[in-house]
Amino acid sequence: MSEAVRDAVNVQADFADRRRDADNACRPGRLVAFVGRISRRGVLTAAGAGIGLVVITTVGQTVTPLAPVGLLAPRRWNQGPQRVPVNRTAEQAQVGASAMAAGWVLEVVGPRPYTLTLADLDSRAVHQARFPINCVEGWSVGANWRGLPLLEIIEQAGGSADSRVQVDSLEPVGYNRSFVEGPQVSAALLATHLNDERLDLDHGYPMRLIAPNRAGVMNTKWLGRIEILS
Amino acid sequence: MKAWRILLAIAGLLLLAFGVFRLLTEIPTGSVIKVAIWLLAALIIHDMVIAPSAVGLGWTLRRNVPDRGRKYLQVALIMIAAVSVIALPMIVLRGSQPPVKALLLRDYAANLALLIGLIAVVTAASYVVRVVRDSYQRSRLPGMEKGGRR
Repeated sequence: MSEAVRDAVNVQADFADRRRDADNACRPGRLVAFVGRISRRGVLTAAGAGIGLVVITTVGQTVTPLAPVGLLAPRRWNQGPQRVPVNRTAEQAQVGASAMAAGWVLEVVGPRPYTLTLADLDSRAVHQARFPINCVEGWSVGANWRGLPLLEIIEQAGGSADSRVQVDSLEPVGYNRSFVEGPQVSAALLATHLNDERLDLDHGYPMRLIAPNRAGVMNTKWLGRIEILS
Repeated sequence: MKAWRILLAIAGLLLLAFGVFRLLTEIPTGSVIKVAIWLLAALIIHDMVIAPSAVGLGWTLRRNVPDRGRKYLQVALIMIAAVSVIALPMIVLRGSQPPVKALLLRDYAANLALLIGLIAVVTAASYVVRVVRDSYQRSRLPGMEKGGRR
């Protein structure tokens, strides 16, 4: 090879190198392109990869198959009582004594008001359903519930599937009241059992509301009163 | 292009005005003050702490780490920053909640160490691949590259 040809080859190779670097910089998934400097795309991809790692290691608290890799997940659903975490404890809600009282009754207010006792619950809580708790704090877990259908309770008091229902907790303060209306009236369960065990005090013993498509906080716990509003 | 930008700017400003209006009319004053403090604190933490630290770290890396390895280190550090910022509050607050909440029970310090180790291994491996590939390419004549250029 003559001197001139070798020079021409070297210049061409140099151009090819530069072009390859430029190509690489524009290729998605390629983290590092230019020698000696991280590209802007590289920074974004690295940040994206870091965030992706955070997502994978936290999303297990609601996507249960990913729970084993939930290294940074704040909640562990299977560590809660009856395999469901608790957001507001009985202690925080100050309901311990009133919820555990042997003389507990559920007051049902409507055209034909009546009360349910603990003994009534034992004999009538046979309806089963599988609903999730979807907490607004970013976790959710499915569970098997058993109890009395809300519709059955309010029909006995003169209500119907078209009624609007108010449920009140024994909680003195906080989110101690919620409303059920529309299709949820027929779907809702007044649960006494969770995952085949009598409802834990922290889950709302002796009775709580559970319904689909409802924020966790609206599934009122420690029920004391139900009123048919319309 | 210019008309589009003006339209987008108007739409953005209207949404901003709507948001501020709602904030001032719907949210109690105490909460608005808390939001203002939060935003201000975020600004101060970013501009006074995070940004200078990042610039300082970048400057130190540029002086002390060879060109080829530096970007791999930078990628690793960016990813480590992302997982650390999530893990650190949980390391501090671990065990602070009632057990029935099933909240903050894990050993987040160990888990963070595991993730940092994983990031280090993966970026180190891709750096090694780069070094090996570079030395392989250098061992060939410039005119013999893939694609048959002469």
